[in-house]
Amino acid sequence: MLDYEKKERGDVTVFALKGNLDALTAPALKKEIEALLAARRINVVFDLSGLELIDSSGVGAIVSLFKRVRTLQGDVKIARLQGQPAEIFKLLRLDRAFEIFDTQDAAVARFGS
Amino acid sequence: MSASPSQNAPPGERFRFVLPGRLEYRDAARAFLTYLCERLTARGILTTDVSHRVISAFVEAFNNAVIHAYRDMEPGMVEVEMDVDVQQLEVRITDRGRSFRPELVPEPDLDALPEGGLGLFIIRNFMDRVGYERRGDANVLTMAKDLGAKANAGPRE
Repeated sequence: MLDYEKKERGDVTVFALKGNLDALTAPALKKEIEALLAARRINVVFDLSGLELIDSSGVGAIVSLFKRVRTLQGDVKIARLQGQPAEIFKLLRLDRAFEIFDTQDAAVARFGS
Repeated sequence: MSASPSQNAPPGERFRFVLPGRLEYRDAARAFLTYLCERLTARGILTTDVSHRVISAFVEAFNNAVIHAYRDMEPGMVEVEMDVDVQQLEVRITDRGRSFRPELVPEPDLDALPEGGLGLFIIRNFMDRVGYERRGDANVLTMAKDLGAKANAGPRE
């Protein structure tokens, strides 16, 4: 099960994910992502402090968004990576591809700098 | 009864779940595996980081059975067996879907940020031993993690 809270902070969209981002729940997030891109919201922060589990399908959803917003001069940043998702990010070297921040505020502020 | 490997070690334990081959049932077995890992962590023979790797590998293996083995067919059952003793935690996942050839699955190019094809890579890197065999009409994936000091090593490079 995945819960997420979506917040607009200026021109940055913040998704605070809770629960599991996996093969079962990634399709729902992908729908949100399509709506985001249709509205030309291309600066995104994923706050992962409440994310219990991510699998390769969940990674695919985030990486897909990352690639698409990059082509539009946007970016995806990660905040408060911890637990099992941190292990996956490290193994798949996503901690090198994404900028990762200790706080949501720092990730959002990075877009303005 | 044969002698146990250590005089003070508790005997090995086996747990078996048979679940419908659908993703929504995966977390029933995952919850139990998490409980087992927490017990091993409390005994000091598994770290939290390593238990995250075991859980990750299990999730990918169950997903593979449901998404790939039972693709385009009525899903059958998925059997999950967990064997734990002082030396290792072994998880076996059995399905009766289509067979696959793990040796033909390419290693992902991580620099290209792949959006798929990562499941087997995660399993192979997060577990110490991984085996696959076709037994009759069944696919049996066996993966094991060492416990104790060796378990604290990072993913294989």
